[in-house]
Amino acid sequence: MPVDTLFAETHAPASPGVMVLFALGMLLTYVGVAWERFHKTVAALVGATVLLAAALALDLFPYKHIYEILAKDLNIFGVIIGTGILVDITGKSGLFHFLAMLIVRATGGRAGALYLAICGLTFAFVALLTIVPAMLILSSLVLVICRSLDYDPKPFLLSVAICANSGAIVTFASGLPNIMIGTAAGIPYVHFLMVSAPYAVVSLLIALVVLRFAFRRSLAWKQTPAEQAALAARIGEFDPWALVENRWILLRSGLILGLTVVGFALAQVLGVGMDFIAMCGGTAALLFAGKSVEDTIGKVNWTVILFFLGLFLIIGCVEATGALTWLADRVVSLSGGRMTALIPLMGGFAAVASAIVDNIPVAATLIPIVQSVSGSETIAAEPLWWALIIGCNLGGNGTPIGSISCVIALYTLKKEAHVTVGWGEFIRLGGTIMLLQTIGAIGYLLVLERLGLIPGL
Amino acid sequence: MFEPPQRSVDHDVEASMRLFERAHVGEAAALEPRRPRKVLVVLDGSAQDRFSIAVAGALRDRFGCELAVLDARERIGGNDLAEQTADGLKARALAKPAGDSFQQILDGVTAAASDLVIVPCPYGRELDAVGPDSTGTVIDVLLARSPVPLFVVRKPFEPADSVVSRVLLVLIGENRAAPVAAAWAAGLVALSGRLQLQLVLEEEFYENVRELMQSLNPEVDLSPESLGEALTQAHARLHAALQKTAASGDFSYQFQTHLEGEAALVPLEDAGTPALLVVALERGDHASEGHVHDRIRHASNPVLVVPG
Repeated sequence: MPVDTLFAETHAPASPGVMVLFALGMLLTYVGVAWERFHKTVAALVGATVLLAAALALDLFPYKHIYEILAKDLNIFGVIIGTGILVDITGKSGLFHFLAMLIVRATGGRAGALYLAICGLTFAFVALLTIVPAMLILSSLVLVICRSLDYDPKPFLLSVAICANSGAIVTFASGLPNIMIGTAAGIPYVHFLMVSAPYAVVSLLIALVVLRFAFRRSLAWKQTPAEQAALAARIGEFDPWALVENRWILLRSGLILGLTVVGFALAQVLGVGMDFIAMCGGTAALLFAGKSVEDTIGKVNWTVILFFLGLFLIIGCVEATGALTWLADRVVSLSGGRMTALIPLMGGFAAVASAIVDNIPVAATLIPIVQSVSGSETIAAEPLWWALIIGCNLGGNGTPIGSISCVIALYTLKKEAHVTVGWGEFIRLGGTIMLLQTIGAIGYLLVLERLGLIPGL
Repeated sequence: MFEPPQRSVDHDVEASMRLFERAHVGEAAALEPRRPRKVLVVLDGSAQDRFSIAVAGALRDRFGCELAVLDARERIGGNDLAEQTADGLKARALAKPAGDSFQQILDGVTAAASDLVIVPCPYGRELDAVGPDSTGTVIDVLLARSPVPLFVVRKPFEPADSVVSRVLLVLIGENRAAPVAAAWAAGLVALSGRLQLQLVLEEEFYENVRELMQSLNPEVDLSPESLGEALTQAHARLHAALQKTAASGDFSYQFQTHLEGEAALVPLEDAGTPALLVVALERGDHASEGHVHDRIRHASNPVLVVPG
């Protein structure tokens, strides 16, 4: 019997016992992922191995189906590799260090202007570079500038951590959950600029209002003309041009990055995938990388790629049991298929789950659920995809471990400034912001949906 | 969320902080490029004269500088070589005094009020015969006494105008003459040419510093990379000034730090790349004097020596 026919025959929902078994396997893997003492990638690969062995033993699907599971998500690897190379080479060019210093210097060192500049830079850099490289640049900038101007780095670093998550929802390539969901749903790059980018700005403003209130006594927001003059003299000692080793490399990196962004925006018109554009950008960057080619390829996040490999196989196994379709049916019946219930449910759950667990497995698990929920013609998928994208990213503000930006900021603050921020303190600040941002996002999506402003796929 | 390992975060944040700290150089003004106005061309009858003459012609055409020609060979009676060369260059030939070649050259500098001397090395001998073993007495004395920069010709190249299309300013450490050398490098580099500031961390220097550091604190293990970073930081102000000079001039500029023996330094020795090397000479500083001698001896490129 041909393998495909065999799979088609065995693709009917499995028994409830098998569903529970595989769902437990997935949950156990997620516990492993969340547990600090266990490496995330190893947890995902172990979970995948065990569930695949069980699936094959129970004749859930034929071996060939493994390749079908992976083929579906192969383009994500292309995007991660291409953007990883591009971001590494652009980062090394000093372009973003130069721009950051240029803007910070223009503030004259005044607390209010500096604070806004740092938050704005965080937002923009994350949108262009993703969270990790942007956080490394901004964290180090804050530490150097605060030492020089005698400012407390804590309000700056915590604000950077929180504003980063707003920047992560600006474009398709700003964060891993966006790439995963955008790829699975086939969301064009420009749709991000139409739907999530405007809310990214709103969420940034929400965060800034709360942060400004929370840090009202932590910074000298009002400074006398004499203090301002002294600060201007001190920040004037920083010369951004000293950061540029080669002006041509700087321009070239900016050009390749800019063309890649344009390529992302035009991918649908050109009839190619985001992975192709990302690989073109990465290859163009590598062409000029000179002797650092090996180093740059080594900087591609292979740990994440292997993690995804395990995760996709786990989700594929659980999906094959029919457990996710069953869960989607329960979600539909619970919400009555009404968007006014589905958007808050999806956005709220994604945010809370992402604050506790890693947002990547949350996104990976919810993708097939959204696909199942919107399987019927009466429920539109688009609002749910956006609820998922926004929820998964902004949920990271909720806890100190909810987002990589918070992890890096708190770690850097502790190591370099010897300041420890406890869970309680962070949750009071970040949790409030996450709550307001999530409520805002739900309201925003409901309004867009009601007005028919969410572009169809 | 997918956090990189802590060690990786530490390393990347510290590297990024060092980069930002490099910008803490104060208000570095652009350099005033130095260009020759009166050039003394010293001949020795060797094959290298052809290149010296071509360089002088190129400088005159570009900067409109006055040229004077001197045949400083000892025990040569007539002044035909200088006069014929001067005719071709539309320059004036200096009268040929008696005495040691180096003294003739130093007197010629004074007589012509020159601000640059083009001189072949080794003086009075073919380069192929001596190779990297010696710079010769004339060059040794000029390095010690010349009040103006020396454009040392090391090998006959055909077209001379390309020699300044790529200029490499090579420094090994703190040097009082570095800003002046940088100003000359910026002044000589060709329009649309390329100027590179190359810091070289010498292996011996690194070993010495590491040994000293370990004698003070055995826990400290100084890596060549971290000393290279310190070297870079120490030259950040000069770099910023050159960057601004390049922005206001019509040439490109690049800054690199290398460990001695790295592949990137090989082009310095490449006979097929007649880039102009510029070195700063701080008299009385043994490291600087040794570096300048070493560069001249081992380079097949022309070398501009700028005393501080």
